[in-house]
Amino acid sequence: MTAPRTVTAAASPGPGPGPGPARRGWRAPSVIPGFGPTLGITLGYLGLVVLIPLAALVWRSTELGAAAFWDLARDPRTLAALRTSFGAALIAAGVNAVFGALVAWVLVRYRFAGRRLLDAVVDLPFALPTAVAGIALAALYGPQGWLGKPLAALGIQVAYAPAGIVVALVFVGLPFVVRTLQPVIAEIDREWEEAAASLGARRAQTVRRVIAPSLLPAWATGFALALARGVGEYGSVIFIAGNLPHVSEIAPLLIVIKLEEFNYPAATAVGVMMLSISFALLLVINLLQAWNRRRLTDAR
Amino acid sequence: MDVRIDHVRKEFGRFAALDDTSLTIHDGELVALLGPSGSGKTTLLRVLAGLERPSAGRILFGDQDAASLSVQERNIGFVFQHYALFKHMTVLDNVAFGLSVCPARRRPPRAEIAARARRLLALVQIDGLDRRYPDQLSGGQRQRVALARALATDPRVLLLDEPFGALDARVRKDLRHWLRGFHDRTGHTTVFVTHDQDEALELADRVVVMNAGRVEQVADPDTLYDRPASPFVFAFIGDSSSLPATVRAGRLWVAGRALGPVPAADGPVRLFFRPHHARLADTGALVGRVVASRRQGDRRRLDVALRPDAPSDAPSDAPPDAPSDAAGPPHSADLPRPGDAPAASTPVEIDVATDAAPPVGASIRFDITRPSLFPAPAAPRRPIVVAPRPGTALAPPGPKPDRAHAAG
Ligand SMILES: Nc1ncnc2c1ncn2[C@@H]1O[C@H](COP(=O)(O)OP(=O)(O)OP(=O)(O)O)[C@@H](O)[C@H]1O
Ligand SMILES: [Mg+2]
Repeated sequence: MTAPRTVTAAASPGPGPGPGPARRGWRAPSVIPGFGPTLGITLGYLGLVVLIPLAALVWRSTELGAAAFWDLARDPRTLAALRTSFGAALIAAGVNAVFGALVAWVLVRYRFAGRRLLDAVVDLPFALPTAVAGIALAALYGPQGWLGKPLAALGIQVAYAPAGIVVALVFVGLPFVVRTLQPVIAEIDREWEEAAASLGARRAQTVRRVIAPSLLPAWATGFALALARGVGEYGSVIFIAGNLPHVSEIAPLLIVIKLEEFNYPAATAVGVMMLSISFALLLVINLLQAWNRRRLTDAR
Repeated sequence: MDVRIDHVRKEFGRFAALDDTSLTIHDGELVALLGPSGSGKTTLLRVLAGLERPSAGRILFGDQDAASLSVQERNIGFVFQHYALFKHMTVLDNVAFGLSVCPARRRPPRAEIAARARRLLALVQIDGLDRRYPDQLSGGQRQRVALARALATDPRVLLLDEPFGALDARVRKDLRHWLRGFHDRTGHTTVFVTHDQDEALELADRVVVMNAGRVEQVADPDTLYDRPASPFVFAFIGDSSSLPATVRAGRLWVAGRALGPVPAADGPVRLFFRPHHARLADTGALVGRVVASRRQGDRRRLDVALRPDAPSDAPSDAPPDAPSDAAGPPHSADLPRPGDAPAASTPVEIDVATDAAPPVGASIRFDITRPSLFPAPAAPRRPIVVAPRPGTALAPPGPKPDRAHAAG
């Protein structure tokens, strides 16, 4: 429950001076003491927790050799799995960006009976072991499930198909968008909306021209978090995906399969591919955000 | 087009932020809403703008009932106290916003919008900052952007909520002058809120004094200062002192001394006077001791504790209201009324010329040249009789309050 909140605080859009050109130097002069020790600890900690394991991953994957790595990367099954994983995660993050924003808006802006309960429900995807969520979703969307049966009658198959993966990822990704946007929506100045209205803007114009742009940075962060989570998700997906190679097999499952074959180098190699793509995606999102922030603060 | 506020009431829960407020704002007028914090100034402005719905009463724009108009349709320019500029838009986009959200058939072409926004920025004298963001402006510049933004849609009425509240004294003063000049040039009907009385008196054609959700007095600055309609206005506008007093047999008695004849009915009253309406005189009717003295502009202001027991010209049959003074025993056998006691021991303020200022501790005698009488606090707020003054332009409905004058 606290995890996404913490992330939010760090990622909140902060209209103040961002890391603009003035601060490009290695270290800006600052009145806040303790830069040295805190940076040292930060680097040490990040190294221990994140960088060293990742380095080990890369190291392990090199055992495969360049040629084998390249073959694996071009293997249609690998490509299909990567496409499934990233495609489903992107779609799910997109769905969550829209509906999560709506949920966050309703939770912040309106007072109604059961609001607190609903607020707590948003965190459930975090609290639940993902396998339990996967089994529940599979039962619900399965051919005999409450939702699966009527959907099947309409000719729509969700469980054991790529659509099932998206459903599972929407489920696990929702809290990221909601929790990221909530504090930012709460900070929207009521007077902006009133000013817009007094200038003749209709409600839809106010939302599009005033509210949405001020939510954009947090929105992008929420999207990125949901995406990252979706890419790495395993537990809830494998129960509902059907796991057909080339169709509904996700990359993390492919890794597990390689592990079960004791093919550690191949498993880590797929991991490295995922890592690179994820890193590239997050980098693009961050660059977009930085560009947006600079547009807002450094314009002259 | 006149704006009429007709017996408007606004409740938040069970609390009435506006209580039976009536006011007419004339076409092209510059009106100040003045009052202490929480007196309902912002609420009145918001009700006018359509941001709040009145609980009772009506608002008329010309002869159109505003209840039928949404915020968008009222065509009002609202400048918020903290400007509420759109942070993610440049100065130019902020100013252009009102035009760019016009319905398509009335919307000017893009280039025309930008040109008009630039003209407005020139009008408020901040051209050259078009591409900045609100965060990159000083308070005074933001203020002007907010004003330009509100003017863009050519509003029928301009509403400004404490437009200079967040600025330092120097910038305030500049902008004040600028706003007056601007208003004279453009003639927008303008209502601005302030709790700075100097600002209201200096800037406005008429000043509306509000207190606890009611209009206390509406008047031009001179009338407001010289002939306040209620004790509240007297105390709120300018410096003043007040004393418990009694009218007895046509004469005014203060602290056991007769001040002079007053055309008022017998009974307890409250006497108000301004510091500069006191005059030191050897034969003065009031006697007191200087307890403090401080420089105030080109005068000295004295705090004087009245002494009812000092010798005086008063007849021996002093009235029974003589309150006790901190320094001496009660003058008369009758005990002072509880309500009067603290006020009587509170020093009064008088202004004297610097070269004639007596030292602290000195006993002085002085006269009050222009006392004003209001009913004693427990009584209703309406001032007692005396020479009705036609054309004082008092807003509240019902009998016109007027104030009492007594020669000292
Ligand atoms: N939305 C609201 N809900 C409840 N009470 C409110 C609301 N808005 C204003 N009030 C109350 O109404 C009264 C008048 O408020 P208002 O903002 O009009 O005062 P004001 O004269 O503008 O004061 P200030 O000079 O401090 O801005 C206050 O007592 C305030 O607490
Ligand atoms: Mg206010």
